[in-house]
Amino acid sequence: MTKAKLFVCIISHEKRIEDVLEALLDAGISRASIMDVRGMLEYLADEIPLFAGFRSLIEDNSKTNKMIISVVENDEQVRMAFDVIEEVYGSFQETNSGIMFSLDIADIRGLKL
Amino acid sequence: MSPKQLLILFIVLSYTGVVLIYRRKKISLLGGMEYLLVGLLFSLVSVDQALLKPLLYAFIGWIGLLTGMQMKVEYVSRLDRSFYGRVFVYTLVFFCLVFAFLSIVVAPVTALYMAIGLLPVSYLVVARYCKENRYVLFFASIMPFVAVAYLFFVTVFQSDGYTLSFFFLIIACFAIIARFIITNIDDKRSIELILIGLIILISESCAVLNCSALLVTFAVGMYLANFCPLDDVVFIALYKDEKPLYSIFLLLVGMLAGMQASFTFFLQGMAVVVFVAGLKYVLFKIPFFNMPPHYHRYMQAPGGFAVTIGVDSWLNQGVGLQTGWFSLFLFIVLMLQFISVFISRSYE
Amino acid sequence: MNKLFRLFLNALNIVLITLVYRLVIGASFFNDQFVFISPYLTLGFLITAAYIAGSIARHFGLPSLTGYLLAGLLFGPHLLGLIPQQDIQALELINALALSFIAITAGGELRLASLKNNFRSIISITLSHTLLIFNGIALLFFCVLYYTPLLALPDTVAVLSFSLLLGVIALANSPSTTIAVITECKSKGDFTDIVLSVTMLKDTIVLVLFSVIIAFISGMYTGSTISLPLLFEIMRHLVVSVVAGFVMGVLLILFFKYIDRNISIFVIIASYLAHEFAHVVGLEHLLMCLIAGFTVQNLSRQGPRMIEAIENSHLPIYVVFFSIAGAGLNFNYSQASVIMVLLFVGARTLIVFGSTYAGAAYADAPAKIKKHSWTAYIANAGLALSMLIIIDETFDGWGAVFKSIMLSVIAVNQIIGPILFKFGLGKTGEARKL
Repeated sequence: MTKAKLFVCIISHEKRIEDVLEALLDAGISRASIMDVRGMLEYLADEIPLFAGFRSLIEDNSKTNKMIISVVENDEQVRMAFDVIEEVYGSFQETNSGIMFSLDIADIRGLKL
Repeated sequence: MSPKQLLILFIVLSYTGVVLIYRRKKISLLGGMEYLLVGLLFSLVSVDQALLKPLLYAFIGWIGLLTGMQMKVEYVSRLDRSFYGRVFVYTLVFFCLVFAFLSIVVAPVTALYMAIGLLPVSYLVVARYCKENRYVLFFASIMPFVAVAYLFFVTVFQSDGYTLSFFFLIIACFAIIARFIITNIDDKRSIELILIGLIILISESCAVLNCSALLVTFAVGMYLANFCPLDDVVFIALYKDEKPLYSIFLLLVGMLAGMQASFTFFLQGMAVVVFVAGLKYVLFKIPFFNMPPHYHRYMQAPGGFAVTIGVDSWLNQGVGLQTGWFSLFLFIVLMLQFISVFISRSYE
Repeated sequence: MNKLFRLFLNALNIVLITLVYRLVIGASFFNDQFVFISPYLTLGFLITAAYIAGSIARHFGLPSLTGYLLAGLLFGPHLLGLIPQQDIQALELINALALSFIAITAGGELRLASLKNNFRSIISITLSHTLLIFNGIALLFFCVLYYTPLLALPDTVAVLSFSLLLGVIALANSPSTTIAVITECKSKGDFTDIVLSVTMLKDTIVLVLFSVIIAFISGMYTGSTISLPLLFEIMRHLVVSVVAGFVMGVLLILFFKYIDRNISIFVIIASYLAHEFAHVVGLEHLLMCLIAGFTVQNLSRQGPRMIEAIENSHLPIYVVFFSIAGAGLNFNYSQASVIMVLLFVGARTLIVFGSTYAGAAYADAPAKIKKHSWTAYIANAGLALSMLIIIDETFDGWGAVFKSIMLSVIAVNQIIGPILFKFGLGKTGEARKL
């Protein structure tokens, strides 16, 4: 078991993704992957437009949440990342704003820690 | 109740509506048109009609602009010609048959506008049940534009040269000025404000000049979509508050239309409902239209745009059409919505 | 795009829109429903034209509300006469709503921490203003009106009443103007907070003072003196308004916490409901909304959300509010009026500067407050206008004269006030967007 942790953060206000990434960079975390994910509720209850049907069909971009994953060195870095993101994005206590957690990493290749 | 109190009541109600009607797992029984009913009930309270009627023009203007702005040449050219061909044949057949039948039930001129009004299909209902079938979705979503085209041609044929050139002049005037003003905004966040101002100005001008606000704003929207560099920003601003605005619109329509309670009224309405529902059932059996036959149950509901066309015809042509036709029309629309959702739900 | 070209286009746009509006009105001859359509048409025209005028004003470094005001003034019934008087009255509904909205905004901008920090300056400047402006103006005009035949007032009592009322109005400010400029320049800091707090505090004082003086003058005319119950009544009135404001604030907080949809529309509705409620119960609705906004900002964590909602929807409200206000502005051109107006504006401006400097100096406020905060206290509409209506109704004879002169004064102050204030804000460096 390495000391490294996988830091995962999912935010629902996807427009703030840049602020969050900049905050991470400032805190020293420069490697991360960002993915588009859709929430379960959004998948189940799609907002169907009333009058804008034609255009929404042609364009078809649905609202996505953003998930950031990053391998960090230790628990401290995780906590720092948590704090730094909360400063920029706001508290995660409010419903529907997002979630952050970390996972232990057993083995790792391709990254020098 | 004073008009301003009523207006505030409307807005508050529309709030609850957005939560209660649109956000449920199952589509609501009237397909989102509950407020039309509520408005009709409100009409029993004495209302200063003349004071609130001009507001309807503004709402029609908003819908017209929103719809017109979807007519971008690059979008339209993405769909292939066979699709347009099928749509054209379907609407022509449907329109002619409905018009023929309606002329028995109501006066011919009235039948004309009612037939156009019954052309659109509720995108809300179709999308809830046919999410996977993009062909049907496109079919349903293109109906409003076809209806507008029909309305446009009817207007052209009914007007003399003088009125017609005046009509085109107005459209050109407003379109160019609107584009000018919108393009010249220095702060993109104030686009909502300028849109409110322009929509009210254009719609109320149409009210004064006795033109169809729907057609004029539709044309302006089309122009803006294709020639204004800020068209995306404008579209998002228009589309953001669709549902609350639509709810208020329905409330207003219901209130100003008023209820009619007579047996002949009911009979006429039901006759039309049965005919239209039956016609759609038959038409969908024809494989030429490329749709599964059982989809007729989802395509019965006329939807919000049908109400829009009805309101526009009522505001614009009202004097020339027989009295009480608008209430009849609303009754038919509500019944069709109910039938569509009811049958669809029982197959779920 | 070249800035000058933009300016030209803006001017051209206004001309075009006005032409269209004029043509449509001309064609209205054929439409018998026009009298009902007219207010809506005017609203659409006003929003568009005033907004463009605001852009033009911004181009010259002036606050946009000056543009809105001038557009209203230009197109209003008193200058070009494009907008009929009945439409202005019909659109007053929006102004009532706007006022509540503005008061909530103002309350929301006051932060408790900042108030505590600047407590001395705020109190000091407020007291200094109250003493010096009220007494200064009242005394000055008592002398002028008593010893010169400028206005030909009937008797000493009338002269005294006139002067006292002039003093009270001189003290009044325009919270809406102050907030509008602050919002537009996105300014934050001690200067902003002090200016806002003093303006609000002064408005409350003006309210009380006005009631007392009206009672005193009525007493002079009827031979009785001010009664204690009357003072109690005024105090009770204020306290109930504050409590109602607190309750409204709590309701707003609950809304933001639990419902939280389409916030922008909701704040507008809340403002309107507050206005109607206050009307019905007879409260001071501006004070109520101010306290409500203050409660939300300082007693919960929903403050930023409310501010965000307000920032999203403030623009249409300000545009309509200030353009309609502008359409109501009037200039009286008689010779006596012109002299009075010049004297009043000039004297008041000087005394405002002096008393602000003195008050700030006494509280050891930083230099920027001493030197520049006077600019915030020049604008004069709002409460003053309501008071004028009451004066006109209460005192026949010189009431109408008073009102017409003061309307001109307010007009002048409303035009130069915001410009000066924006200038002053710029000098302090607290404005983040000029």
